[in-house]
Amino acid sequence: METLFGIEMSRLAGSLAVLTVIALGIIAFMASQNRVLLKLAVRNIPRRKAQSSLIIGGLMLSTTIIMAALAIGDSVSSTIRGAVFDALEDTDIRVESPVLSLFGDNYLEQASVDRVKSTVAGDDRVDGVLPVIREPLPVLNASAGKTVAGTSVVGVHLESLSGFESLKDADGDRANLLGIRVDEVLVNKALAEDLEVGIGDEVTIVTPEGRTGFAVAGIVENKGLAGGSETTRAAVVMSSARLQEILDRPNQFNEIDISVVGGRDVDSEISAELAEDLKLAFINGPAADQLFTALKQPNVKAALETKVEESAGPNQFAPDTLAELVEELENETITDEFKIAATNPVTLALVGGVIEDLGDLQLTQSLLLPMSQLVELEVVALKNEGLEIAELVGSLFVTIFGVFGSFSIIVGLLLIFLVFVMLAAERTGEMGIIRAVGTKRRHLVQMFTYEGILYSIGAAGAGVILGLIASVALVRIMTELFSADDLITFSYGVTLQSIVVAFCAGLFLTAVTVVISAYRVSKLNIVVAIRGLGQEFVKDDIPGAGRRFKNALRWLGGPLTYGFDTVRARRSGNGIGLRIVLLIVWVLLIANSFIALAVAPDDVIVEQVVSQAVVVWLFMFLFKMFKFVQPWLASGVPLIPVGLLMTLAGFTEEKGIEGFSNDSAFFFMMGANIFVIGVGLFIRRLMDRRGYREEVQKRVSMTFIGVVLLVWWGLPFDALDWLTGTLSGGIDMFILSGVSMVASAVWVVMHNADLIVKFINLFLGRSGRLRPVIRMAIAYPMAARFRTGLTLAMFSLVIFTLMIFAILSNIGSVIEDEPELVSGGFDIRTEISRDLPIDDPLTLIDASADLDRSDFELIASQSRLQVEARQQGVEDLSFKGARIRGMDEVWLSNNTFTLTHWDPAYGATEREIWAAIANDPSLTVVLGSMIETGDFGGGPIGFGSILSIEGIKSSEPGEIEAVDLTVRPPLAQGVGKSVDVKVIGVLDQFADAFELGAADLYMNPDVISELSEVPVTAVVYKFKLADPDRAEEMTRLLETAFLEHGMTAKATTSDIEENQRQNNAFNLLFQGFMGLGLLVGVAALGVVAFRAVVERRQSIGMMRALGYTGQMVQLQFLMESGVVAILGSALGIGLGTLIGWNIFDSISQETDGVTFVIPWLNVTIIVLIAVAFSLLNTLLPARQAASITPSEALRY
Amino acid sequence: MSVDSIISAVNVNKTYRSRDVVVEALNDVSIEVQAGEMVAVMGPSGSGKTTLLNCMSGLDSIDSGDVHISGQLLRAMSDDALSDYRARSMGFVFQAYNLLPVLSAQENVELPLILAGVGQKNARERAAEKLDLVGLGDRLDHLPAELSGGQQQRVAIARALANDPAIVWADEPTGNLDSTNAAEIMDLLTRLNQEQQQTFVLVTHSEEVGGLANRIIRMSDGYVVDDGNGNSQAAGKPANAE
Repeated sequence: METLFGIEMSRLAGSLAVLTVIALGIIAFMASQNRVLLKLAVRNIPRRKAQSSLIIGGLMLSTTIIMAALAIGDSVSSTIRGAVFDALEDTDIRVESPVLSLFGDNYLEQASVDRVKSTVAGDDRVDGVLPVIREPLPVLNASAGKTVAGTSVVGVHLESLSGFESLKDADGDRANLLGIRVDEVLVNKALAEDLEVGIGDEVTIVTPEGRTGFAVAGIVENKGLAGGSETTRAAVVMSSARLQEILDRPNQFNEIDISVVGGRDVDSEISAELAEDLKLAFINGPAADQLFTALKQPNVKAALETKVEESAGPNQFAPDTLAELVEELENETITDEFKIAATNPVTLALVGGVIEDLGDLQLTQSLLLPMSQLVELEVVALKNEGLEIAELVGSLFVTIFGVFGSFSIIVGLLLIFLVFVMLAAERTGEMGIIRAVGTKRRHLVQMFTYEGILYSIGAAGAGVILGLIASVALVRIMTELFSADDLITFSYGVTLQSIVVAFCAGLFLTAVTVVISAYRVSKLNIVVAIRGLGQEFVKDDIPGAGRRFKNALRWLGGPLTYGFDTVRARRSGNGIGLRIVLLIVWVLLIANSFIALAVAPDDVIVEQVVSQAVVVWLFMFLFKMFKFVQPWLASGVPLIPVGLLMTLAGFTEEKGIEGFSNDSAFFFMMGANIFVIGVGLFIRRLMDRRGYREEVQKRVSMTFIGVVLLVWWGLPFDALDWLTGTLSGGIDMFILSGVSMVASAVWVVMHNADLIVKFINLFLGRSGRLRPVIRMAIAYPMAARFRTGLTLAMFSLVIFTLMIFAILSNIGSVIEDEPELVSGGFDIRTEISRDLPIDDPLTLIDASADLDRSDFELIASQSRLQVEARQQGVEDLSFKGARIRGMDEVWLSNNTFTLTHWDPAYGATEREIWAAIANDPSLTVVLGSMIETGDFGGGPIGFGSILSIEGIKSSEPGEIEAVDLTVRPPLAQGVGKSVDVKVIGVLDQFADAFELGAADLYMNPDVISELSEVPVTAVVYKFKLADPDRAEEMTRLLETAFLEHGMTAKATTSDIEENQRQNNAFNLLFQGFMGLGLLVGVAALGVVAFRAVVERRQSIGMMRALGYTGQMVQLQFLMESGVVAILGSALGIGLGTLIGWNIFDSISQETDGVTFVIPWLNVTIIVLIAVAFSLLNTLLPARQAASITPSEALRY
Repeated sequence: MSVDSIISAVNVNKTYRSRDVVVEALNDVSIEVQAGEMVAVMGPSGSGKTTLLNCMSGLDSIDSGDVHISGQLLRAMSDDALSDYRARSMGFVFQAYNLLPVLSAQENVELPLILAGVGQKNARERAAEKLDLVGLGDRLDHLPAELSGGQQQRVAIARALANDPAIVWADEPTGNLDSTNAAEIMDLLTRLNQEQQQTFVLVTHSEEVGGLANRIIRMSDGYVVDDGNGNSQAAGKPANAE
């Protein structure tokens, strides 16, 4: 991958590496100043090897998760990159006709080939130009009765092969293209397997002109020229001269491939540069000049500028090229930049919309021609585009895994905290004496930090390795997942940059957590520590309000104050090494940014650097301001107004205060959190004044906070929309809600632990011999609230995530039960080659020996036309991509699709709406994915380049008022034709879900003949079978019977099965990944149990002396872990179900037919695994505990 | 406060709270210790001996009253300043030795020296000297686990003496030792007190150990019942107390 969260990977890796080195450098410097602390830290590590290993094991899990996510992203990227390279090999840029084949002839004459060749002649960036014909045609092996419809039949100009010689045969040797005779072809491996042909066998290619037989001269790899297409890998390579003959296309080609120097791994900058030069070379000069002059008119230019301003902003769609184009209008004469910007079809469509908006009909008409003729030859930087997609998909995977992994990472960090708290507990006595002999608190922090950093380095290293191993396993699952498609071969690949990022990020997260826990430890009460009475922490002396305020104000001085304090610290004899290092770093950072600002004042990056330097300054000031207010926080009073303001700031502007409310779910929910905590603390303060006991105060106030927050976060997502408006929030809200709910639940449980103990004892405490064991097994964890709370939180969070995932993966499986939702009542959908149309399917069925008319209840046909469309009366008037599906009478009167929206003026039932369409070619029904959806459905597919319908909301199904559209052929294809169309209905989201339509208009086929110059024939046939159970068999029979037309057939049931299989595999993959988090929770229980054995040595001895058997002690330890694991699982399941239900509720408002299912089997397995592993992990410490002899334990 | 007193505690009160139980550990305690004196604090369990030591040495905070050490008011010192003061001017010996298990005998003794800013080489030499002084010159490189209880306590004493502190605080220094070792340790402490003129404050149960001190302060229920100079501060003590 080259970017992560929008940041370049190389820069990210570089910065992280530099920061890590600087941070480690500072720490090393500090350590060198006080070596005895380092010595103490280092020597503690090998002291207890088992424990150190456990610590490293616990610490490394965060890094493991980060590494696994990045490596998966890398692998996906590299797989797609590999697929791109395989598909294109030497071809980097493709030159094509701007005409789509549907609207006329898209073949290029020899003159175009000569033009391209002469344009690049002598250009040292180019090492080959290859004219090619590529046509999808049926190819068959007549003797075996095997066919592959849609095989890529590729005719190559053998005299132009220079630069395109990488095609290899099955043995890995260079394929002998030049040796192909007129009656021979090369067949790729995929086709050879499908047709079961070998060298010397005969294959037949079916063209509109007839059938032609060829001998197989060789078998080549599925790559490059023989790479196949997006739908099938099968390909045939032959001489272009011969293919021109059998297609009756003398001296014509339909693509010209250009190879850029550098072979497969092309320098994308050179490639992009060349593509741009070629675009310029193939622009129609006079048309461009005419467009330039027209757009320079003041009123047009002003309108375009307004459009640019409107479309600015992160959520608006407008290509940068529109702004560039408008900027270029400042020049007196036309520039190359203008021409390039104008070739972008989306930009051109936006310009067209603006001009039409001006209402100047003459201007509009006069520009249609130059706009449609602007591009003479279309230049596509194919390889670059493919690589960009690879990048995008890779990042997407990292984001998905990152979001779900973040729960596990949070759990991992809690574990680190827990580990260090335990470590500190164990060393309390030592630390007490270290403080007694005169060390300061910060020395303890340092000592712990050194030790922690050493562990962290080891753990980050081990985590990277484990992450790599985990990712190999996960990628293997993905290979299984996609192998059925055969179109993509998954390959594992990880970049050094990802390893650096994972290592540094893991180290950083671990180290920060270590420092925080070290700070907590440094505050321990020396006396209590030395006497081995456990841990008690002292409270800081708080200076008076005036002093605190002065302190805060002093920090407005920033570096000056810091410098002054440093001098003062020196005078009073304190060490200032660290202060000086930090001061230098800070000053350098600020100086650097100011220098950078002076050098390049316009650069946005510089501004960022400056703001970063200032942020440190501001942050310190805010921190001191916080310190100023801090003592009053315990009363809760300051939190109440802050929380309220924040909540209000989250409202939408409509419902909140204009200029203050900024429509943010994050602010709204967090503000409420703060408010509730404030109220809770205030209740406690009031109870304190009234003289309630401390325990009672705590229980009431903390339970209040926990319960209210639980209810608050558990509300359905839209429960408060009436108050706040629909708030926007991203996936971060999901993480926040999970963490908040689990924290609240654990909070409530731990503050009522005694009640739980009593309750359980009431039921279980009667069970005879086990009674004392059960009693102790519950009492111990509930007494150690802090550590049990932490462990419980970890466990619940993991189960919570797994639970939500299990629920989400079951939503939507409704199509399994109701395949008609997808198929509309037709069992098989087929597609034929456009060049090989069918006159009457029944004739062919009659002619077939295997098929009979009675096998089919219905046969429907569809024609398709790519168009541009726009909605009337909305702000964005530009034309966008759409596709008309001309549905025949049979389909219109027989399909069983459900509509979610309809205009009652045209009918009250589906049947009536379809009948209206059958009668009127200006009416249409659109796909469900084209209308406005809420948060969880995402926006309409395809961003802004594809038609979407405004004003119809998926959340408000039912009657609508028809929406008007204007539909026309794509700009470059035809001039002047357009039709007005009314949207009178919207299909359910599952309709034709497997046909990958994005902006389909279901219409009467008559509309197509109005728009297209050439007749458009049906390409899709749908069959309703008399016996639906024979669907699989019938697909094969149909493909054979309609062989001459290149038919490919698919049964809806197999689509659904495949879809389900992929979903299941994908869910499995995710659960595997999330399972890493479970490891953390289990490890936590192990850590706690190990510590408990050491801590409770004496009490175990005492229990043994009182008559506990070794087995009872062992059982008690196991039960302690079991209690936490079961309680954690219960919380996780409960909360996961609640949030899962909320998500389902939100989805079901927009989508009919989804079902809420709790996959109990899945959940039971997860919980059983979790509990079993927890017990397994506790077994060792439990045995240790059981083997303690009373005399030994009681000696001290 | 008399001119020669190195430690002065005036009307010191200390209360421990745990949940709803309140324990008054020190009640209006006032004590003075002269420089070079060896004072033993004695009394039954729970009488406040250790609390008194902790509060006077600055390890623990007090609720009210004043403690001066060498004329400096402890209450006015920050945690950092107190730490520095401990590193330079005080030594501690505890019942459980409390040596750092990962450091050798010599390194344990070096620790306070390094914290007080003494150079590495100098610290090594002085640590060796101190260990020699307590009779462990031949055990410099041994880890605590490789030493007997008596030897460990000697290392702890050497560590307490490392910076030639004005005051050494010892909390039950012989509590974990058999009688032979205990006698040896006490010999060592009295010898050091006489030779080096350092002030020793010992908390002990043992009359034998107490008998070796210049003065015994007796405590009961948080009150000083005898300050060794014939004064009792137990006037406000409840009637049922000892």
